[in-house]
Amino acid sequence: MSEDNISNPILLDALKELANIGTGHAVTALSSMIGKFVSITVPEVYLESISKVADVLGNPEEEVAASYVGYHGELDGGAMLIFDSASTHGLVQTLMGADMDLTDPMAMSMMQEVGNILVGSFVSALASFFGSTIYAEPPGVAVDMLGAVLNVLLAEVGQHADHLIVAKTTIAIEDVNIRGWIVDIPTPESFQRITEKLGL
Amino acid sequence: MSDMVNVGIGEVAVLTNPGRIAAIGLGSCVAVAVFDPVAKVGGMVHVLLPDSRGQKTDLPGKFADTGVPYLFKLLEEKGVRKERVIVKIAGGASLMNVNVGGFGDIGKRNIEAVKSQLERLGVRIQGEDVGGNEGRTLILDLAQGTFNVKTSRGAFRQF
Repeated sequence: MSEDNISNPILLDALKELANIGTGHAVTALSSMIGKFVSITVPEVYLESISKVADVLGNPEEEVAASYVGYHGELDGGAMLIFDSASTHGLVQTLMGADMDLTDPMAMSMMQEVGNILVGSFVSALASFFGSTIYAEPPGVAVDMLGAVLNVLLAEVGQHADHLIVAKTTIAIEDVNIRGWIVDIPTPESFQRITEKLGL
Repeated sequence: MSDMVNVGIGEVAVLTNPGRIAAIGLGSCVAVAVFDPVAKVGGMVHVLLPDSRGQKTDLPGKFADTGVPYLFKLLEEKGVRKERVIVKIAGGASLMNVNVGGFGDIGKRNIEAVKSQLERLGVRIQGEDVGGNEGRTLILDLAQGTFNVKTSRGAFRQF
């Protein structure tokens, strides 16, 4: 597939809108889970070489907590919820009432649940937007280097494309200083297929 | 530090002493580091996936089957001889226990694919820091001829 096609501004706008809808659903779920107001920013969409995706999102060696859901169907790709280490401690504190080591099974299990709810509602919002069936794979969770956790997502979408369209939305819970991102990367070929079907 | 060349996913770098080459934040990816102590030339490839399946790519380092031969081609152009190289590999962790792109454990598949490419080239692996469930950074220091791994759990290993 030519890169002229995936850098088409209409396609990038469509992905931005899609990320907005998906993240809106996801933060509603998070907000009701923790009983706090969760804000989201306008999604940023990048067309980026697979070599540089980690650098665009942050320091590849920084410790983060990440939850991942791969999805398949008319749209293929993966979505990842990422919190930096300070925000993850804040989230553990908010939800569990006490801080703990992020690799503690209790903390991991909480992150898995938060990720499952957020990324799961993100993916189901994509499916209802397109009126199509999109299957979500069982979620994964890890506390590790940003670059290392992103490998999972990039391996999912990187077989056929050297350049990827990356949608990143920042979510924040201001009064407890928690900040995270939802990163969505559809495979460029499936994204183009589905937008063509919709006449975009 | 400024003397360090970062090799991103799918990239290949070859460098003549002095200097360092690094692959930062390896999860399921595998990096192959090669050093020729006579030519004082080193190189690295940062592999994302095991098999190109004939896919055309502008990033030959992305796949084990295209990336490993391409790295050796560039090294040989710089005077590196296969029979005297030191080759070490790192990465291939399983961080999330998810089935990625139908690959199952993608880290394990990457390790196997890289090893089979090296074997095909007739090159012996002298060290590996692979598998497990921790992210890694691999650094090859050409001046020292050392291979080091930093892990996400704070460990530092020369191997």
